[in-house]
Amino acid sequence: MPRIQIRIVILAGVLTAVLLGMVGIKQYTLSTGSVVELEIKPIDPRSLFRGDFVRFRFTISELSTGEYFGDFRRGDTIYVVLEPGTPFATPVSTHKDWPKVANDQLVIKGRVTGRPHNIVRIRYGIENFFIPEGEGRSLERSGPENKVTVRVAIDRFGRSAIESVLVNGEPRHSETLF
Amino acid sequence: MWEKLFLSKLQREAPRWIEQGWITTEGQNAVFADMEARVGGTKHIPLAFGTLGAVLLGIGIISFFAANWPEIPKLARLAILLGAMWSSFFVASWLYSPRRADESSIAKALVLLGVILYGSSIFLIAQTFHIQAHFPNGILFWALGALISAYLIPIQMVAVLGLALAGLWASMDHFSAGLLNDFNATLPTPFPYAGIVYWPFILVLGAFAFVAEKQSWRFTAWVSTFGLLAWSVATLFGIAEATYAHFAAVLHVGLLLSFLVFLFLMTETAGRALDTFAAPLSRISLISGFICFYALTTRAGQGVDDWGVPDPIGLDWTVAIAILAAFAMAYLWLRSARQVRPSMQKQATVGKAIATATILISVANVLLWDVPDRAIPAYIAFNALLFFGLIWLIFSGYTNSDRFTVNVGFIFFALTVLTLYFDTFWLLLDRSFFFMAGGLLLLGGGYFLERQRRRVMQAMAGPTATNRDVI
Repeated sequence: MPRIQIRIVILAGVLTAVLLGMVGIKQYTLSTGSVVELEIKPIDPRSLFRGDFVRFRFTISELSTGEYFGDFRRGDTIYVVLEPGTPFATPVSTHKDWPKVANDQLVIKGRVTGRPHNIVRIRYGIENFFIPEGEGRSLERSGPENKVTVRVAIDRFGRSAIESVLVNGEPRHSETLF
Repeated sequence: MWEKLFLSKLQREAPRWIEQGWITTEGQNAVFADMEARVGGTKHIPLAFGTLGAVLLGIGIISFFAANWPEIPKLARLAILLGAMWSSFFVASWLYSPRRADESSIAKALVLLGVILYGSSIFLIAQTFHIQAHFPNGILFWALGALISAYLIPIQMVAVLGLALAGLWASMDHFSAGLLNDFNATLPTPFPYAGIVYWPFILVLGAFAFVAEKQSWRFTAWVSTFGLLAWSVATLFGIAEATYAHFAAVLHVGLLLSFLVFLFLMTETAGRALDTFAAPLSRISLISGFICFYALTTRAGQGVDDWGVPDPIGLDWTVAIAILAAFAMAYLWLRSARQVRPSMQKQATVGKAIATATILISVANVLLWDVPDRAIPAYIAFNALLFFGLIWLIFSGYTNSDRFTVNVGFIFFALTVLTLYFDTFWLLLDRSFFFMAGGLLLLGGGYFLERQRRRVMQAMAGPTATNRDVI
């Protein structure tokens, strides 16, 4: 095979590895992670760049610094220890480095997006969920009769991925490879 | 384009050379035949059409799938994206075979298409599999893909695309990540210590510059140099506070840095080592240096608001400027410059003297920043030095037959005269007289300067020059 053809194959291979790597890391979290349910406060609608998606704000997206220790600044990595529970997982503590936790506890990794007053705002990378066009409205309007929650898989590195979106406890959108 | 201009110039000059007996008619014909074969008007057309076709096809594929996305199963989407990219590379590989040498332009366009499809796949896969990351990182991965492509399969358009993506990534990550959606707005760059001096961009730019130098890609070298200039300006203004004093400090640093780069390229070794980058670096540093120099001749550039009390310039800026000035001085006097022709010795000496005076005045201006009444003497000194500097630049461009330098000299000369008029006479003259005199200055000065510039160009181009040669 001439040299230029070999180089093209190498290029295509490297670029493919990057693209498959994106999918692979996500699937690793989903298939190996422990699943917890998180309470959410869904909000708004649409991005021109990325089609329809719902945007979730979790109860663990804003933690009060009065209850949780650590001195965080915007952009810092934050590790939040979660206690799985029924129906929702609850935050136990926040840390700047990977914490030691009890066997039943989980650690979810995020980044601090802001520090207004005594609150730490955190982004976990599970805030946006893309859905078929037009189906976003029912998820946005979470209320007593339309309770939306999210089941999240958390792997051993603290990475998280949405496993399914539930309405009144029933899976409405599930994340599968196919 | 340059070869075409060179050929037309040769065609004009050749009859005179034959007449003088310097070349034979056969020699002339052989040279013309060789040049015409090289110019060959249609050489770039397949590449241009191919590139356009690649871009259009890429956009078409993306928008088709975007429109029908929800109906396609996830794995099928992945297969379509990877299949489209691999098909593009596969056909390019087939067209690159030695038997199909004539189709290499289309092959290049298909590699470009492959890189475009790779980039769109990043975002579509992120959407399909709900992968959320810092948004500019997606663009960075696309730029890095283009970099690997340009390194493995040397295609200039891919490198230029990669540089444009790198610029987009850096500006989004550094300045405006939040403009796309407010979730990213709240996240700063993930790179450590990149808040003010955005160092990651320099690494990526350096990698592209390495490929450009290796492949002797002049256009990529120009784009990279503009990227470096934009980064330098953004960084300097990012460090500076919004005060007149810091504005002046940035201008001093810009002037001295540009001067250092220009001097560096004047040395024998640098000129040889940076073959592809020598022209863009020296020309852009010449322009950026004169922009800073020119700005320092204005009242705002001297850090004085209506001749009031200036803010302090700060020890950090003063030390930085002093160090840069010391380097510039050392380089100017200690390093061996490129071979100077005996006829240009006097010109080089005058240039050195003006440069030395500029460096000394810059340092003195910063060191004496807080001294009362510093501004007016500094204002006069910078104007005088810029005036002499521009005269020298035009003269130097003329003797070296360098049109670019002559044009730069004339543009800055006109700009300086106008600014001087607006900057000073506004305070001295009656308003109506100010505007009338200004109008006359614009009309008369513009006419005079353009006449002088054309005269210099005419002299440089020779007696047989056409109108195009004196532009």
